[in-house]
Amino acid sequence: MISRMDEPPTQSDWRCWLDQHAPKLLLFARQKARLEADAQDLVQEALVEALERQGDGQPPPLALVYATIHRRAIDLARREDRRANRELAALEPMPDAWFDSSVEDRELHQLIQDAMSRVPENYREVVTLKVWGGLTFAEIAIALGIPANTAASRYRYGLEELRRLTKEVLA
Amino acid sequence: MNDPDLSGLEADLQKLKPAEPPLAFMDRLVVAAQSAAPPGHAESASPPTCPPRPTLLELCGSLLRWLLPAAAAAGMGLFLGSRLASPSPTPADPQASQAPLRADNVHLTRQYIGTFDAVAEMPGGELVRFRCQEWADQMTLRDAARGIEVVHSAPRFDVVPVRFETY
Repeated sequence: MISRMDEPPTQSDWRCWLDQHAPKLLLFARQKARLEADAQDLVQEALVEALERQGDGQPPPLALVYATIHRRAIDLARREDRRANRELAALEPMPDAWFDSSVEDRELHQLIQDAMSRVPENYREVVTLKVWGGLTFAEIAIALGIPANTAASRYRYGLEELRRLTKEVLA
Repeated sequence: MNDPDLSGLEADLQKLKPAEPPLAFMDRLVVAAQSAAPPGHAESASPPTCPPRPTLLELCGSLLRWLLPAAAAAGMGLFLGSRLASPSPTPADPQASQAPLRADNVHLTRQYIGTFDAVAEMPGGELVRFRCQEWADQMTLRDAARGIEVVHSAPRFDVVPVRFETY
């Protein structure tokens, strides 16, 4: 009489899917939100909304989740009082590091994170989705509601801006 | 990207990996995703994106799963052999003490104790979460004729890494 108590497969499936994609989604959300808690809420709400909109129980396309994060971040910024938010942000600890880094790479990663935060947002979001989100320009166009050509040109401008900001240190 | 400078920068950026989200947040997401998915489609939600990740711990766990009962059985055999070989100081029933032990009733039970998560930091600083299930394995041998019952139990842990850096 050996009984088996296997875990429901769906939980591990979701965990697996999220292990693969949640870091990318959270990276994008962190660049959209001022507070870490807001970034996490954006990812969770966008995932749930994308799942409900898709309605078939399958993991949603990433472009749809990114698009939902993007739209919800705009809504969030409109809802909030910006001044109060800045004051609140000053009280909160700094957001988590955007990138995984070992001790020796930490300074370089912090430099790139700082540079990324200084790149204009419309460039930064395209760079993030292309480099770390793994989306094509066509998918980025869907996610951000812009033409694919615009996405491609913003990507190039974003990289040029990043190069300018990091040139002295990386040269 | 035609510009070699930008291509180099692009390659450098691609080497960076997004930071792993906090564990509590991941747990929250799993619950949210499960709740949002229609129950009728829950089984089909399995994406083929997660390759099997056999690890040393899993291999050890699989081996231990078979080795523990085997070791228990071997230990039991030795114990019973030594017991039969040594003369009993006060044999209650001389006829019964000379008869070989006949295990006519053997039960193997596996009792689920609980599940917990553990987090380990690898030498490279990477955080890995382990899902640990605690079980109590028990083997009971009975010789009805002689009224002997031998019980051997051992705790066992199934340890499965549930989160690795995947890209």
